[in-house]
Amino acid sequence: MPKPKTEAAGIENPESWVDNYGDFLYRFALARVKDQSIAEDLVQETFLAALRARENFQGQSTGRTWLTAILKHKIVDHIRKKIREPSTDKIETLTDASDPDFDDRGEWSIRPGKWVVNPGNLYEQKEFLDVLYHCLAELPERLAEAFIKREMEGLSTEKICKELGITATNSWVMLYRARMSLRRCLENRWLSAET
Amino acid sequence: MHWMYNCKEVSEMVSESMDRALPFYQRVLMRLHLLMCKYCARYREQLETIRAASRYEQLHGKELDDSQALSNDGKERLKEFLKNHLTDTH
Repeated sequence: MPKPKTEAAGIENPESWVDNYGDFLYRFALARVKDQSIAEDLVQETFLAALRARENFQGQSTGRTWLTAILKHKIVDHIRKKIREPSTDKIETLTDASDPDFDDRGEWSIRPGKWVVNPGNLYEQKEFLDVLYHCLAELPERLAEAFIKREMEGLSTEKICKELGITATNSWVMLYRARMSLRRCLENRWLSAET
Repeated sequence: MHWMYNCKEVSEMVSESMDRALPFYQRVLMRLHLLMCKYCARYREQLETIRAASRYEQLHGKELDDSQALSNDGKERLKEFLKNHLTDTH
């Protein structure tokens, strides 16, 4: 499949990245981190990662989408560094311990509440995404990575298995754990629940 | 195989059904459980909300503030940075 000339030229010519994608990526980062110099740093880190990986860009998505996907991982990495004390890796061990979500009979130990989210409301979207990124940063890295690829980039699980070098069953388990942790985190942090 | 799944099992199936097509009997029993159990039904709505929000951002990026842009200095810095790293990454 021939890809549109301009798009291909866009990624294949890194000297044009700043002019073509710089502002968009910067705004995207700024929406999450709220600090101009950090946003600029994240754009820079994204460009560096993109330089190293640009052979992998096959025009399956637009250049902007491809770069944005890299940026999302960088944003989550940044938040993770900010919130996690270097010595603690509590969440990793938590998943091995007994399941916090269900009792011995497999019934909910804390019942899921009713979320009141209006998907059409931009402000609520923004708030929701802020909390979601924060919750993503609290996940073990591998789980966050799998989740971002699946739900944010919309990749198939086959593709994710290839990229992360895992089996299909593994990917389902990882995504399940990621979703369970995220919903718990979102419920605790933001979404007032009616029981 | 048993025909009554508990909430934990259903929670796994709901998640898995978002990544692949479940076998027919599992799908039927999952739906049956969801009809009877409001907490699992809420859980499924929650996962769908999370998915919708994640994808929404991908598709539109509408929440972005157009008045914000990289400063000229910032652009120069980034261009310089790219130029310096072009050689050592290729």
